[in-house]
Amino acid sequence: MKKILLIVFFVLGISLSFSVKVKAAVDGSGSGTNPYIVKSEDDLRWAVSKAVSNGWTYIVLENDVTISNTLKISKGKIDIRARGKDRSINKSIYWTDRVNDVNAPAKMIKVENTAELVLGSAGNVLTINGFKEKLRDRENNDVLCIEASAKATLGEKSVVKDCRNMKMNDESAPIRVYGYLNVYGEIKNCEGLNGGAIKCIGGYVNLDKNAFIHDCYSATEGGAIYLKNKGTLYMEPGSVISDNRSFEEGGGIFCTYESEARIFGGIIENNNSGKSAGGVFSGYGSTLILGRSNSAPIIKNNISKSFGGAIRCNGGSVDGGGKTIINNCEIVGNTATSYGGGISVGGSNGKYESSLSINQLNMHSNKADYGGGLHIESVVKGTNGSFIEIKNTGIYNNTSISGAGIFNQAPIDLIKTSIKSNTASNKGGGIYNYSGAITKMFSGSINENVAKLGGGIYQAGTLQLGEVGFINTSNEVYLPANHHIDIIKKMEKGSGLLALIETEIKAPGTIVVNVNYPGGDGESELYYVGTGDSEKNGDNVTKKFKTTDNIVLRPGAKVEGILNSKYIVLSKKYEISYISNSLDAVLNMPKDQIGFHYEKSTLSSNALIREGFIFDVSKSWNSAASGYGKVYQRGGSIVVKSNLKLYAIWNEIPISKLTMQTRDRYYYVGQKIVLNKKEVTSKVEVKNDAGTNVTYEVVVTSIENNSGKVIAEGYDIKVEDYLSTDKSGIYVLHVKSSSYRGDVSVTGEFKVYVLDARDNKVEVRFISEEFIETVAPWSVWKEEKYDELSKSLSRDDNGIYNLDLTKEDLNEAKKRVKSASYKISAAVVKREKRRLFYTG
Amino acid sequence: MKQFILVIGLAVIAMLVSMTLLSVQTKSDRQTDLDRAVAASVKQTVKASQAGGQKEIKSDKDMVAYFVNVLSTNIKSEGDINIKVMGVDYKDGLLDVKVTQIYKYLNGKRGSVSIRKCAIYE
Repeated sequence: MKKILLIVFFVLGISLSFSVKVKAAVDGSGSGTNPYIVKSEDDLRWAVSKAVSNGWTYIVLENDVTISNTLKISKGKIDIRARGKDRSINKSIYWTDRVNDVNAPAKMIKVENTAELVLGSAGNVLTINGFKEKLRDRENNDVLCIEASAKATLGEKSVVKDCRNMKMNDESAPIRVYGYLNVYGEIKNCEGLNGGAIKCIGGYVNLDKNAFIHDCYSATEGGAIYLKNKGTLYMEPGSVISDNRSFEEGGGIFCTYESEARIFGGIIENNNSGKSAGGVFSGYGSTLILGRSNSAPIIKNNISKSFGGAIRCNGGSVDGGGKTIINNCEIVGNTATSYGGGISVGGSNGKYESSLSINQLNMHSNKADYGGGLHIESVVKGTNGSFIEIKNTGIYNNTSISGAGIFNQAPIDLIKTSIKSNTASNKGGGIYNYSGAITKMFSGSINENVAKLGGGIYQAGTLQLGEVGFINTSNEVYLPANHHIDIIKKMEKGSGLLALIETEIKAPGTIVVNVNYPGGDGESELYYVGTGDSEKNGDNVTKKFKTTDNIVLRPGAKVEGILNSKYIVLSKKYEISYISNSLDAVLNMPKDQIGFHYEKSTLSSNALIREGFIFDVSKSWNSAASGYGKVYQRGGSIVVKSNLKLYAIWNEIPISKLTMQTRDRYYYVGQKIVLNKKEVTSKVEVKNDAGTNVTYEVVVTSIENNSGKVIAEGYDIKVEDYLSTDKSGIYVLHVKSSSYRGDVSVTGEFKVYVLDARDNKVEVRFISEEFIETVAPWSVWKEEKYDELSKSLSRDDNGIYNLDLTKEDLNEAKKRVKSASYKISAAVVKREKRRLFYTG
Repeated sequence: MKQFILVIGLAVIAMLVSMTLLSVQTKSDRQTDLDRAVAASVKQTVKASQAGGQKEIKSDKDMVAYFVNVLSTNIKSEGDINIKVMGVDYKDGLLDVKVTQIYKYLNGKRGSVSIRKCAIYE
């Protein structure tokens, strides 16, 4: 018995002495003014164990502390800070410690129940160091785990670094949050299996001012943060997520399964994903909110190997969809290798809807193969209706192969949005409107975008214009076969083109615009000034649309085979030319008409008058000058299919005799005159005995040279082939003229002289503006002083000198000349000059 | 008395008709005369300007003065004259003038005839 009592007292003594020893090592009372002063793991565990349930317990580290087994924070609110100098809470690197157990490594710090832990809120820097490089070969666990209902804060003096949690078959990340985590400090160089720094499973993570997560890596998704199962992330202005990377989606943030990322501010930059979403991934029914009225996040220079250089939202390979609301955001300089250099929006595939709204998005200088700025898949709707509203947004300087501004596969409504200076190497500089997509535009502008096809819009879906929506003339709208522009509301722009259209199909009759609102029609939406009929009458018209290759546009209601008032179609302009078919003057000749492809035109009903002839109505108008072509009735209606030349056909009033008067013609060597039939026969006059003033055609039947040798013979010889002013010569031309019936004819002859002017001493000649080109080639007035001569001849003013002489002046001058025996001497000239120029 | 009035009336009508015919004739004659005189004077002046060793025309103004002297001897019909010199070049032989003769009809109204002539030395 005595022995037993001795043993009991011994044990009690040992225990008591141990207890007194621990107690004795930790100074302080745990209050704010007198915190526990901790120098070892044991001190820390003791201090934590002393936490009060209903208030704050303050602990300061005066040494670095190494954690060998889980430090549980189970009750109260504990604030741990560094004091004196920067301190660390290190993970043990000994393999024998529980945190490095080869089979089941323990968590390093765990906050559970309703406990709250604050690390590094003030004082010196407090670092949580995971020593990942030293423990790379070991299985490991959370560095910090916040259970549901528990709360932790990484204060602005905290740093979490070099932590690693790659525990397979678990949702591993260095920091796991089921409860609530506030971050004001820095997290860097961490690695996780699902989230390089933080994994939030149904909990809340708040990145506040000064939060800085960088250079972390996830072996799957979420280079910095992974949100799951209704987890929520708040990112406030001043926080930064940069230089993180993921092997799969979400180089910065991965948000999945009905989670919510509310990115109100801060910067997400230089993150990199092995698959989609260089910056942020949101999908599987999750919600992504970017910006609010007073703050905008900047998402820049992120790189994705697939969709969404900055953001892939509403994504998911199986349960794709979600909700994305952009209120205020700048997305710049991001790159995706496939779709959506700035943003790629995924469509619903059943379980979750996919909805989107965009307001005040400033998206520029992003790059992708398709959708350099924005890519929206099909089966995406607006958050407030079937159309996705894109409001007050600027999308510019983005580049891609196709759809540099927007690659659209959904119904979108562009409201006061500017799409400018985007460059696609192939299709759709501003917008590629994909098959099945709808782009509605009642306002805003699309300009200065560049593409091989469709600088403004490549319209392979439905393009709806109305009110003041238009596409700048610097940006054509390309319409592939069977596509057009729909006008769904009355256009209210008062002037300027609504769209410059380029079509794949150029054939007349191709529909390019469909006016699709009640009461609207193609004719009223085609013309600012004029109508279809006034254009046909040759009046000036001003149109709202134009084609790049100047193919004429016409209202469909006018076109046979279409006859639909809703359409504006490609057409072709034709000329209906009326030809008098006469050398004589013809009265009442109709003006040429304009006709359009497959449209009806009414021919002139004018009664023509020609002296000596009667208009043959049985043959006129006629497609052939001979009168043996197709007959077009005067005043008749025709459907125009090509240019048309219509000849008047005449019946000559009978005559019995023609007389001919000829005159020799004189030319000089070197004169710039072509000696053709018109020139040399211009002085030949043919008259009939009926006294009618008919002009008869004169033909040259033979040409002889000066020695009487026939050098050309035939009917209607081409005179210029034989005569020219190149060298001197004398020719005899035989000419003939016949009545139009051919029953009466007359012949005659005349000479054509081509003289060497110098031989013939031609010195002074009269000249007029009409004949200025006939100046001899050797004359100074031909070349050297041509301009002076031309200027003089074209004058019609008061001249260089304007001299008034009375008849007395003239008589006086005459007397002086007479008194000099009609020799105008230098003295006479001098006197006259003085009188003319120096008197009065 | 009745016959007297008739004779007087016929005489007045005859006078009016003859005055009308005369004025038409006057204009036509004057135009012909002016055309001939100006054409001849222009041609003669240009020729004179290029004549070898000539001393009379040594400037453009000399050439115009020469033209006026020649014209004064060539023109037959009387009237005031306006000469607009559109172009003149005594060195290479150019004279371009528009000459207008202003005259009075018998009834005191003024009429005018004009001609434009240009000659060059080739």
